[in-house]
Amino acid sequence: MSEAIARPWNSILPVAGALSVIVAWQFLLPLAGVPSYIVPTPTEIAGIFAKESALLWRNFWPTLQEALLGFALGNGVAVLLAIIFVWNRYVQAAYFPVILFLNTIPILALAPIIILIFGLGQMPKIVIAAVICFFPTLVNMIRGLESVSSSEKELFRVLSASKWETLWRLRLPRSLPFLFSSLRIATATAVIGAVVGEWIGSDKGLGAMIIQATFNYQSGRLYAAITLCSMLAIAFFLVVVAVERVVMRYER
Amino acid sequence: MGATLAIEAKALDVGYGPASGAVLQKFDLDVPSGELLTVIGPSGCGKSTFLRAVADLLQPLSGSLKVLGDSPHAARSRRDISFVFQDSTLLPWRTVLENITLPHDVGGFRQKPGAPTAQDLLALMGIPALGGRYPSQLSGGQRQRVAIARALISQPRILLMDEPFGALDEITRDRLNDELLRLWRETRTTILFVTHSIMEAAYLGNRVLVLAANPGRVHAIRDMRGIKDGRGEIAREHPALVSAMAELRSDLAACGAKG
Repeated sequence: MSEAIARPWNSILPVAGALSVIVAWQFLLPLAGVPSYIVPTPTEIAGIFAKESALLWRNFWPTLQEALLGFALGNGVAVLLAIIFVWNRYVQAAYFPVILFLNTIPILALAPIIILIFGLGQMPKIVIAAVICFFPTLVNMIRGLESVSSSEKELFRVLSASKWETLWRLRLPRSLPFLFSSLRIATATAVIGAVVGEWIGSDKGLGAMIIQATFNYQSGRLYAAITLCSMLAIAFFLVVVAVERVVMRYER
Repeated sequence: MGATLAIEAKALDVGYGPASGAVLQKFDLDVPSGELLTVIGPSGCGKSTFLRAVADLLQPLSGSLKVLGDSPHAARSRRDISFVFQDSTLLPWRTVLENITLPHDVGGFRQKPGAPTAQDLLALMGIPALGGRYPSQLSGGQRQRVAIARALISQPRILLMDEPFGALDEITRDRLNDELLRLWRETRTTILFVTHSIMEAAYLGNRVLVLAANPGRVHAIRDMRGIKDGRGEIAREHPALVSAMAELRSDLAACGAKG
Protein backbone atom coordinates (compact mmCIF):
# COMPACT_ATOMS: atom_id res chain seq x y z
CA MET A 1 0.00 0.00 0.00
CA SER A 2 1.24 3.49 -0.77
CA GLU A 3 1.57 5.95 2.09
CA ALA A 4 -1.19 8.36 3.08
CA ILE A 5 -1.33 11.80 1.47
CA ALA A 6 -0.28 14.67 3.75
CA ARG A 7 -2.58 17.35 5.11
CA PRO A 8 -3.17 20.22 2.64
CA TRP A 9 -2.76 18.00 -0.43
CA ASN A 10 -5.50 15.56 0.50
CA SER A 11 -8.09 18.31 0.00
CA ILE A 12 -6.32 20.21 -2.80
CA LEU A 13 -5.70 17.23 -5.09
CA PRO A 14 -9.33 16.15 -5.70
CA VAL A 15 -10.33 19.72 -6.54
CA ALA A 16 -7.31 20.13 -8.81
CA GLY A 17 -8.14 16.81 -10.51
CA ALA A 18 -11.74 17.84 -11.20
CA LEU A 19 -10.64 21.26 -12.46
CA SER A 20 -8.12 19.72 -14.85
CA VAL A 21 -10.83 17.53 -16.38
CA ILE A 22 -13.17 20.51 -16.81
CA VAL A 23 -10.40 22.62 -18.37
CA ALA A 24 -9.49 19.79 -20.76
CA TRP A 25 -13.17 19.38 -21.63
CA GLN A 26 -13.50 23.13 -22.27
CA PHE A 27 -10.48 23.46 -24.54
CA LEU A 28 -9.45 20.08 -25.90
CA LEU A 29 -12.83 18.80 -27.15
CA PRO A 30 -13.44 21.73 -29.55
CA LEU A 31 -9.83 21.36 -30.73
CA ALA A 32 -10.53 17.69 -31.43
CA GLY A 33 -13.45 18.79 -33.58
CA VAL A 34 -16.26 17.43 -31.38
CA PRO A 35 -19.31 19.57 -32.30
CA SER A 36 -21.17 21.25 -29.44
CA TYR A 37 -24.51 19.58 -30.33
CA ILE A 38 -22.85 16.32 -29.28
CA VAL A 39 -20.77 17.52 -26.33
CA PRO A 40 -21.28 21.17 -25.31
CA THR A 41 -18.44 22.83 -23.38
CA PRO A 42 -18.74 23.57 -19.64
CA THR A 43 -19.24 27.29 -20.33
CA GLU A 44 -22.13 26.53 -22.70
CA ILE A 45 -23.75 24.34 -20.03
CA ALA A 46 -23.24 27.09 -17.44
CA GLY A 47 -24.93 29.46 -19.90
CA ILE A 48 -27.99 27.19 -20.01
CA PHE A 49 -28.14 27.26 -16.19
CA ALA A 50 -28.23 31.08 -16.33
CA LYS A 51 -30.70 31.32 -19.23
CA GLU A 52 -33.12 28.51 -18.40
CA SER A 53 -32.97 28.40 -14.63
CA ALA A 54 -36.75 28.61 -14.21
CA LEU A 55 -37.30 25.61 -16.49
CA LEU A 56 -34.52 23.64 -14.79
CA TRP A 57 -35.84 24.26 -11.26
CA ARG A 58 -39.40 23.43 -12.34
CA ASN A 59 -38.16 20.02 -13.40
CA PHE A 60 -35.78 19.62 -10.49
CA TRP A 61 -38.43 19.64 -7.73
CA PRO A 62 -40.53 16.66 -8.89
CA THR A 63 -37.39 14.52 -9.24
CA LEU A 64 -36.20 15.61 -5.78
CA GLN A 65 -39.56 14.68 -4.24
CA GLU A 66 -39.72 11.31 -5.98
CA ALA A 67 -36.15 10.41 -5.07
CA LEU A 68 -36.65 11.44 -1.42
CA LEU A 69 -39.95 9.64 -0.96
CA GLY A 70 -38.70 6.58 -2.85
CA PHE A 71 -35.59 6.53 -0.67
CA ALA A 72 -37.70 6.69 2.49
CA LEU A 73 -40.20 4.09 1.29
CA GLY A 74 -37.69 1.57 -0.10
CA ASN A 75 -35.29 1.73 2.83
CA GLY A 76 -38.09 1.84 5.39
CA VAL A 77 -39.72 -1.32 4.04
CA ALA A 78 -36.30 -3.00 3.74
CA VAL A 79 -35.44 -2.26 7.39
CA LEU A 80 -38.84 -3.52 8.60
CA LEU A 81 -38.61 -6.67 6.53
CA ALA A 82 -35.03 -7.33 7.72
CA ILE A 83 -36.26 -7.09 11.33
CA ILE A 84 -39.11 -9.52 10.60
CA PHE A 85 -36.69 -11.92 8.87
CA VAL A 86 -34.20 -11.88 11.73
CA TRP A 87 -37.02 -12.12 14.27
CA ASN A 88 -38.45 -15.24 12.65
CA ARG A 89 -36.12 -17.53 10.68
CA TYR A 90 -39.05 -19.48 9.24
CA VAL A 91 -40.46 -16.39 7.56
CA GLN A 92 -36.98 -15.63 6.23
CA ALA A 93 -36.50 -19.16 4.89
CA ALA A 94 -39.88 -18.98 3.13
CA TYR A 95 -39.77 -15.49 1.65
CA PHE A 96 -36.15 -14.47 1.17
CA PRO A 97 -35.82 -16.65 -1.98
CA VAL A 98 -38.95 -15.00 -3.41
CA ILE A 99 -37.43 -11.57 -2.91
CA LEU A 100 -34.16 -12.82 -4.37
CA PHE A 101 -36.07 -13.90 -7.48
CA LEU A 102 -37.91 -10.57 -7.78
CA ASN A 103 -34.58 -8.79 -7.50
CA THR A 104 -33.32 -10.52 -10.65
CA ILE A 105 -35.97 -8.76 -12.76
CA PRO A 106 -34.28 -5.73 -14.37
CA ILE A 107 -35.75 -2.47 -13.13
CA LEU A 108 -36.33 -1.36 -16.74
CA ALA A 109 -38.57 -4.39 -17.26
CA LEU A 110 -40.37 -3.77 -14.01
CA ALA A 111 -40.95 -0.05 -14.57
CA PRO A 112 -43.76 -0.38 -17.20
CA ILE A 113 -45.60 -2.79 -14.88
CA ILE A 114 -45.31 -0.34 -12.00
CA ILE A 115 -46.65 2.44 -14.24
CA LEU A 116 -49.52 0.18 -15.31
CA ILE A 117 -50.41 -0.36 -11.68
CA PHE A 118 -49.91 3.16 -10.31
CA GLY A 119 -50.80 5.33 -13.30
CA LEU A 120 -48.96 8.37 -14.61
CA GLY A 121 -48.60 10.57 -11.54
CA GLN A 122 -45.60 10.77 -9.22
CA MET A 123 -46.51 7.57 -7.39
CA PRO A 124 -44.98 5.10 -9.91
CA LYS A 125 -41.70 7.08 -9.91
CA ILE A 126 -41.59 6.93 -6.13
CA VAL A 127 -42.23 3.19 -6.27
CA ILE A 128 -39.50 2.62 -8.87
CA ALA A 129 -37.03 4.61 -6.77
CA ALA A 130 -38.13 2.58 -3.74
CA VAL A 131 -37.73 -0.77 -5.50
CA ILE A 132 -34.24 0.08 -6.67
CA CYS A 133 -33.13 1.05 -3.11
CA PHE A 134 -34.85 -1.83 -1.42
CA PHE A 135 -32.75 -4.92 -2.03
CA PRO A 136 -29.23 -3.78 -1.04
CA THR A 137 -30.60 -2.31 2.16
CA LEU A 138 -32.53 -5.49 2.97
CA VAL A 139 -29.41 -7.65 2.54
CA ASN A 140 -27.15 -5.24 4.44
CA MET A 141 -29.66 -4.80 7.24
CA ILE A 142 -30.05 -8.56 7.74
CA ARG A 143 -26.27 -8.87 7.92
CA GLY A 144 -26.10 -5.94 10.33
CA LEU A 145 -28.76 -7.34 12.66
CA GLU A 146 -26.88 -10.64 12.70
CA SER A 147 -23.50 -9.03 13.33
CA VAL A 148 -23.68 -9.46 17.11
CA SER A 149 -20.84 -11.41 18.72
CA SER A 150 -21.42 -14.60 20.68
CA SER A 151 -20.33 -12.96 23.93
CA GLU A 152 -22.79 -10.11 23.33
CA LYS A 153 -25.56 -12.66 22.90
CA GLU A 154 -24.43 -14.43 26.07
CA LEU A 155 -24.29 -11.16 27.98
CA PHE A 156 -27.91 -10.41 27.08
CA ARG A 157 -28.94 -13.96 28.02
CA VAL A 158 -27.25 -13.77 31.41
CA LEU A 159 -29.14 -10.50 31.96
CA SER A 160 -32.41 -12.28 31.04
CA ALA A 161 -33.07 -9.75 28.28
CA SER A 162 -36.22 -10.38 26.23
CA LYS A 163 -36.11 -10.91 22.48
CA TRP A 164 -37.46 -7.39 22.02
CA GLU A 165 -34.81 -5.87 24.33
CA THR A 166 -32.08 -7.77 22.52
CA LEU A 167 -33.37 -6.38 19.23
CA TRP A 168 -33.72 -2.82 20.46
CA ARG A 169 -30.65 -2.53 22.67
CA LEU A 170 -28.22 -4.80 20.81
CA ARG A 171 -29.14 -5.82 17.27
CA LEU A 172 -30.44 -2.49 15.98
CA PRO A 173 -27.50 -0.39 17.22
CA ARG A 174 -25.13 -3.08 15.91
CA SER A 175 -26.75 -2.86 12.47
CA LEU A 176 -26.28 0.90 12.09
CA PRO A 177 -22.88 0.85 10.32
CA PHE A 178 -24.30 -1.66 7.82
CA LEU A 179 -27.47 0.39 7.37
CA PHE A 180 -25.59 3.62 6.74
CA SER A 181 -23.25 2.05 4.20
CA SER A 182 -26.26 0.92 2.19
CA LEU A 183 -28.10 4.25 2.68
CA ARG A 184 -25.11 6.04 1.14
CA ILE A 185 -25.36 3.88 -1.97
CA ALA A 186 -29.14 4.29 -2.00
CA THR A 187 -28.82 8.08 -2.34
CA ALA A 188 -27.54 7.63 -5.89
CA THR A 189 -29.83 4.75 -6.80
CA ALA A 190 -32.94 6.59 -5.57
CA VAL A 191 -32.18 9.42 -8.01
CA ILE A 192 -31.59 6.89 -10.80
CA GLY A 193 -34.94 5.26 -9.97
CA ALA A 194 -36.81 8.56 -10.12
CA VAL A 195 -35.17 9.50 -13.44
CA VAL A 196 -35.87 6.09 -14.99
CA GLY A 197 -39.51 6.39 -13.89
CA GLU A 198 -39.75 9.78 -15.57
CA TRP A 199 -38.25 8.46 -18.80
CA ILE A 200 -41.00 5.95 -19.23
CA GLY A 201 -43.96 8.17 -18.72
CA SER A 202 -43.82 11.75 -17.56
CA ASP A 203 -43.91 15.32 -18.84
CA LYS A 204 -42.04 16.80 -15.91
CA GLY A 205 -38.94 16.05 -13.91
CA LEU A 206 -35.29 15.81 -14.89
CA GLY A 207 -35.85 12.39 -16.52
CA ALA A 208 -38.54 13.75 -18.82
CA MET A 209 -36.33 16.72 -19.58
CA ILE A 210 -33.44 14.44 -20.55
CA ILE A 211 -35.66 12.51 -22.99
CA GLN A 212 -37.16 15.64 -24.58
CA ALA A 213 -33.80 17.41 -24.86
CA THR A 214 -32.25 14.35 -26.50
CA PHE A 215 -35.01 14.10 -29.13
CA ASN A 216 -34.76 17.83 -29.87
CA TYR A 217 -30.95 17.93 -30.05
CA GLN A 218 -30.93 20.47 -27.20
CA SER A 219 -27.57 19.22 -25.95
CA GLY A 220 -26.97 22.13 -23.56
CA ARG A 221 -30.28 21.50 -21.84
CA LEU A 222 -29.57 17.74 -21.78
CA TYR A 223 -26.19 18.23 -20.08
CA ALA A 224 -27.65 20.75 -17.65
CA ALA A 225 -30.32 18.22 -16.62
CA ILE A 226 -27.68 15.52 -16.18
CA THR A 227 -25.57 17.90 -14.08
CA LEU A 228 -28.59 18.61 -11.87
CA CYS A 229 -29.23 14.87 -11.41
CA SER A 230 -25.73 14.28 -10.20
CA MET A 231 -25.78 17.37 -7.98
CA LEU A 232 -29.01 16.08 -6.44
CA ALA A 233 -27.40 12.70 -5.73
CA ILE A 234 -24.30 14.34 -4.26
CA ALA A 235 -26.33 16.65 -2.00
CA PHE A 236 -28.38 13.70 -0.89
CA PHE A 237 -25.23 11.69 -0.18
CA LEU A 238 -23.77 14.53 1.91
CA VAL A 239 -26.96 14.73 3.99
CA VAL A 240 -26.75 10.99 4.75
CA VAL A 241 -23.06 11.30 5.64
CA ALA A 242 -23.86 14.21 7.99
CA VAL A 243 -26.63 12.24 9.71
CA GLU A 244 -24.28 9.26 9.99
CA ARG A 245 -21.62 11.44 11.65
CA VAL A 246 -24.11 12.56 14.30
CA VAL A 247 -25.63 9.13 14.93
CA MET A 248 -22.30 7.28 14.96
CA ARG A 249 -20.38 9.87 16.98
CA TYR A 250 -19.34 7.14 19.43
CA GLU A 251 -16.86 5.87 16.87
CA ARG A 252 -14.75 9.00 17.56
CA MET B 1 -26.34 -20.77 58.76
CA GLY B 2 -23.00 -22.54 58.34
CA ALA B 3 -21.05 -22.76 55.13
CA THR B 4 -23.57 -22.88 52.33
CA LEU B 5 -22.58 -24.07 48.90
CA ALA B 6 -22.56 -21.55 46.07
CA ILE B 7 -22.14 -24.22 43.44
CA GLU B 8 -22.70 -27.94 43.73
CA ALA B 9 -22.08 -30.23 40.74
CA LYS B 10 -22.70 -33.97 40.93
CA ALA B 11 -21.90 -36.41 38.11
CA LEU B 12 -22.42 -33.51 35.75
CA ASP B 13 -22.18 -33.98 31.97
CA VAL B 14 -22.17 -30.76 29.93
CA GLY B 15 -21.74 -30.29 26.19
CA TYR B 16 -22.97 -28.42 23.15
CA GLY B 17 -25.88 -30.73 22.35
CA PRO B 18 -26.23 -34.51 22.72
CA ALA B 19 -24.87 -35.20 19.22
CA SER B 20 -21.41 -33.73 19.80
CA GLY B 21 -21.01 -35.48 23.15
CA ALA B 22 -20.12 -34.14 26.57
CA VAL B 23 -17.21 -31.74 26.98
CA LEU B 24 -17.31 -32.24 30.76
CA GLN B 25 -17.97 -35.77 32.02
CA LYS B 26 -18.90 -37.06 35.49
CA PHE B 27 -17.93 -33.72 36.92
CA ASP B 28 -18.09 -33.30 40.72
CA LEU B 29 -17.37 -30.02 42.43
CA ASP B 30 -18.42 -28.13 45.55
CA VAL B 31 -17.72 -24.42 45.76
CA PRO B 32 -18.50 -22.92 49.18
CA SER B 33 -20.01 -19.44 49.34
CA GLY B 34 -17.43 -16.69 49.39
CA GLU B 35 -14.64 -18.70 47.79
CA LEU B 36 -12.39 -17.38 45.06
CA LEU B 37 -11.79 -20.47 42.95
CA THR B 38 -9.46 -20.28 39.98
CA VAL B 39 -9.79 -22.80 37.17
CA ILE B 40 -6.93 -23.83 34.93
CA GLY B 41 -6.46 -26.56 32.35
CA PRO B 42 -5.51 -27.34 28.75
CA SER B 43 -7.63 -26.17 25.82
CA GLY B 44 -10.77 -28.24 25.46
CA CYS B 45 -10.88 -29.20 29.13
CA GLY B 46 -14.25 -27.47 29.54
CA LYS B 47 -13.26 -24.52 31.75
CA SER B 48 -15.50 -22.10 29.90
CA THR B 49 -18.11 -24.79 29.38
CA PHE B 50 -18.47 -25.19 33.13
CA LEU B 51 -18.90 -21.42 33.63
CA ARG B 52 -21.56 -21.41 30.93
CA ALA B 53 -23.45 -24.23 32.62
CA VAL B 54 -23.41 -22.31 35.92
CA ALA B 55 -24.62 -19.17 34.12
CA ASP B 56 -27.52 -21.09 32.54
CA LEU B 57 -26.12 -20.51 29.06
CA LEU B 58 -25.77 -24.27 28.51
CA GLN B 59 -28.10 -27.02 29.71
CA PRO B 60 -26.49 -29.98 31.49
CA LEU B 61 -26.87 -33.23 29.52
CA SER B 62 -27.13 -35.23 32.73
CA GLY B 63 -26.24 -35.12 36.41
CA SER B 64 -27.16 -32.33 38.76
CA LEU B 65 -25.98 -28.75 39.07
CA LYS B 66 -27.17 -26.51 41.88
CA VAL B 67 -26.39 -22.83 42.07
CA LEU B 68 -27.05 -21.27 45.49
CA GLY B 69 -29.18 -24.31 46.27
CA ASP B 70 -31.36 -23.72 43.23
CA SER B 71 -31.36 -24.38 39.50
CA PRO B 72 -28.97 -22.29 37.37
CA HIS B 73 -32.04 -20.88 35.65
CA ALA B 74 -33.56 -19.64 38.91
CA ALA B 75 -30.25 -18.12 40.00
CA ARG B 76 -29.83 -16.39 36.64
CA SER B 77 -33.41 -15.07 36.73
CA ARG B 78 -32.78 -13.56 40.19
CA ARG B 79 -29.61 -11.87 38.88
CA ASP B 80 -27.51 -13.77 41.39
CA ILE B 81 -24.94 -14.44 38.66
CA SER B 82 -22.81 -12.01 36.70
CA PHE B 83 -20.46 -12.89 33.86
CA VAL B 84 -17.26 -11.15 32.76
CA PHE B 85 -16.04 -12.15 29.31
CA GLN B 86 -12.55 -12.19 27.87
CA ASP B 87 -13.42 -9.42 25.44
CA SER B 88 -14.99 -6.72 27.56
CA THR B 89 -18.24 -6.89 25.53
CA LEU B 90 -18.92 -3.21 26.11
CA LEU B 91 -21.50 -1.76 23.74
CA PRO B 92 -19.64 0.84 21.66
CA TRP B 93 -22.66 3.16 21.31
CA ARG B 94 -23.09 3.51 25.07
CA THR B 95 -20.92 5.68 27.28
CA VAL B 96 -19.04 4.04 30.14
CA LEU B 97 -21.80 4.94 32.64
CA GLU B 98 -24.51 3.72 30.26
CA ASN B 99 -22.62 0.45 29.80
CA ILE B 100 -22.46 -0.07 33.54
CA THR B 101 -26.21 0.51 33.91
CA LEU B 102 -27.11 -1.81 31.01
CA PRO B 103 -28.31 -4.46 33.53
CA HIS B 104 -30.97 -1.97 34.69
CA ASP B 105 -32.26 -1.46 31.15
CA VAL B 106 -33.01 -5.08 30.28
CA GLY B 107 -34.60 -8.11 31.87
CA GLY B 108 -37.06 -6.07 33.94
CA PHE B 109 -34.64 -5.26 36.75
CA ARG B 110 -34.40 -2.00 38.63
CA GLN B 111 -31.62 -0.90 40.91
CA LYS B 112 -31.92 -2.49 44.33
CA PRO B 113 -32.26 0.06 47.18
CA GLY B 114 -28.91 0.74 48.78
CA ALA B 115 -27.07 -0.74 45.81
CA PRO B 116 -24.02 1.13 44.55
CA THR B 117 -24.56 3.52 41.65
CA ALA B 118 -22.62 3.31 38.41
CA GLN B 119 -20.52 6.25 39.59
CA ASP B 120 -19.71 4.47 42.88
CA LEU B 121 -18.53 1.44 40.94
CA LEU B 122 -16.41 3.55 38.62
CA ALA B 123 -14.71 5.00 41.68
CA LEU B 124 -14.33 1.51 43.15
CA MET B 125 -12.61 0.40 39.95
CA GLY B 126 -10.28 3.40 40.12
CA ILE B 127 -11.53 5.22 37.01
CA PRO B 128 -13.98 7.80 38.45
CA ALA B 129 -13.42 10.37 35.70
CA LEU B 130 -14.13 8.15 32.68
CA GLY B 131 -17.94 7.91 32.96
CA GLY B 132 -18.66 10.06 29.90
CA ARG B 133 -16.21 8.34 27.57
CA TYR B 134 -17.11 5.84 24.88
CA PRO B 135 -15.45 2.37 24.92
CA SER B 136 -13.40 3.22 21.81
CA GLN B 137 -11.66 5.89 23.91
CA LEU B 138 -10.51 3.44 26.61
CA SER B 139 -7.45 1.21 26.96
CA GLY B 140 -7.87 -2.56 27.24
CA GLY B 141 -7.38 -2.48 31.02
CA GLN B 142 -9.91 0.34 31.44
CA ARG B 143 -12.44 -1.58 29.38
CA GLN B 144 -12.12 -4.63 31.62
CA ARG B 145 -12.57 -2.41 34.67
CA VAL B 146 -15.80 -1.12 33.17
CA ALA B 147 -16.91 -4.68 32.38
CA ILE B 148 -16.31 -5.66 36.02
CA ALA B 149 -18.21 -2.59 37.23
CA ARG B 150 -21.14 -3.63 34.99
CA ALA B 151 -21.00 -7.14 36.45
CA LEU B 152 -21.09 -5.74 40.00
CA ILE B 153 -24.01 -3.33 39.61
CA SER B 154 -26.62 -6.01 40.14
CA GLN B 155 -24.79 -7.08 43.33
CA PRO B 156 -24.38 -10.69 42.22
CA ARG B 157 -23.65 -13.46 44.70
CA ILE B 158 -21.55 -15.31 42.14
CA LEU B 159 -19.15 -13.68 39.72
CA LEU B 160 -18.08 -15.82 36.75
CA MET B 161 -14.94 -14.58 34.98
CA ASP B 162 -13.80 -16.22 31.74
CA GLU B 163 -10.15 -15.26 31.20
CA PRO B 164 -11.01 -11.62 31.86
CA PHE B 165 -7.41 -10.40 31.81
CA GLY B 166 -6.14 -12.78 29.12
CA ALA B 167 -5.71 -10.07 26.50
CA LEU B 168 -3.96 -7.54 28.75
CA ASP B 169 -0.27 -6.80 29.14
CA GLU B 170 1.55 -8.23 32.15
CA ILE B 171 1.70 -5.03 34.21
CA THR B 172 -1.97 -4.17 33.73
CA ARG B 173 -2.87 -7.75 34.49
CA ASP B 174 -0.91 -7.72 37.79
CA ARG B 175 -2.60 -4.48 38.82
CA LEU B 176 -6.08 -5.80 38.00
CA ASN B 177 -5.31 -9.04 39.85
CA ASP B 178 -4.57 -7.01 42.99
CA GLU B 179 -7.74 -4.96 42.55
CA LEU B 180 -9.80 -8.09 42.06
CA LEU B 181 -8.39 -9.49 45.32
CA ARG B 182 -9.27 -6.26 47.12
CA LEU B 183 -12.76 -6.35 45.64
CA TRP B 184 -13.20 -9.96 46.70
CA ARG B 185 -12.08 -9.16 50.25
CA GLU B 186 -14.53 -6.28 50.48
CA THR B 187 -17.54 -8.05 49.01
CA ARG B 188 -16.83 -11.74 49.69
CA THR B 189 -18.60 -12.56 46.47
CA THR B 190 -18.07 -16.11 45.26
CA ILE B 191 -15.77 -15.87 42.23
CA LEU B 192 -15.01 -18.51 39.61
CA PHE B 193 -12.04 -17.31 37.66
CA VAL B 194 -10.91 -19.16 34.52
CA THR B 195 -7.38 -18.44 33.34
CA HIS B 196 -4.55 -19.77 31.19
CA SER B 197 -1.91 -18.30 33.47
CA ILE B 198 -0.44 -20.52 36.20
CA MET B 199 0.74 -17.38 38.01
CA GLU B 200 -2.71 -15.85 37.99
CA ALA B 201 -4.34 -19.10 39.12
CA ALA B 202 -1.96 -19.56 42.05
CA TYR B 203 -1.85 -15.89 43.03
CA LEU B 204 -5.61 -15.26 43.04
CA GLY B 205 -7.18 -18.53 44.08
CA ASN B 206 -8.14 -19.77 47.52
CA ARG B 207 -8.13 -23.09 45.72
CA VAL B 208 -7.03 -23.92 42.19
CA LEU B 209 -9.11 -26.36 40.20
CA VAL B 210 -6.97 -28.16 37.60
CA LEU B 211 -8.97 -29.73 34.80
CA ALA B 212 -7.88 -32.44 32.38
CA ALA B 213 -9.11 -32.63 28.79
CA ASN B 214 -10.77 -35.24 26.54
CA PRO B 215 -13.08 -35.62 28.29
CA GLY B 216 -13.02 -32.63 30.62
CA ARG B 217 -12.77 -33.79 34.24
CA VAL B 218 -11.30 -32.76 37.57
CA HIS B 219 -7.58 -33.57 37.64
CA ALA B 220 -6.71 -32.02 41.00
CA ILE B 221 -7.77 -29.33 43.42
CA ARG B 222 -4.88 -27.47 45.04
CA ASP B 223 -5.48 -25.50 48.22
CA MET B 224 -3.57 -22.23 48.31
CA ARG B 225 -4.84 -20.90 51.62
CA GLY B 226 -2.00 -22.51 53.59
CA ILE B 227 0.61 -20.31 51.92
CA LYS B 228 -1.36 -17.07 52.06
CA ASP B 229 -2.06 -14.67 54.92
CA GLY B 230 -5.48 -14.11 56.46
CA ARG B 231 -6.35 -11.62 53.73
CA GLY B 232 -5.67 -14.19 51.03
CA GLU B 233 -2.51 -12.41 49.94
CA ILE B 234 1.02 -13.48 49.13
CA ALA B 235 3.94 -11.71 47.48
CA ARG B 236 4.41 -12.65 43.84
CA GLU B 237 8.06 -13.60 44.48
CA HIS B 238 7.38 -15.64 47.62
CA PRO B 239 9.13 -19.06 47.46
CA ALA B 240 5.95 -20.81 48.63
CA LEU B 241 4.02 -19.33 45.68
CA VAL B 242 6.81 -20.26 43.29
CA SER B 243 6.78 -23.88 44.46
CA ALA B 244 2.96 -23.95 44.31
CA MET B 245 3.25 -22.80 40.70
CA ALA B 246 5.77 -25.57 40.01
CA GLU B 247 3.29 -28.07 41.39
CA LEU B 248 0.52 -26.69 39.18
CA ARG B 249 2.83 -26.84 36.20
CA SER B 250 3.53 -30.54 36.75
CA ASP B 251 -0.22 -31.10 37.27
CA LEU B 252 -0.84 -29.54 33.86
CA ALA B 253 1.94 -31.59 32.28
CA ALA B 254 0.47 -34.73 33.79
CA CYS B 255 -2.99 -34.03 32.36
CA GLY B 256 -1.65 -33.53 28.88
CA ALA B 257 -1.41 -29.77 28.38
CA LYS B 258 0.69 -28.95 25.36
CA GLY B 259 3.07 -26.02 24.87
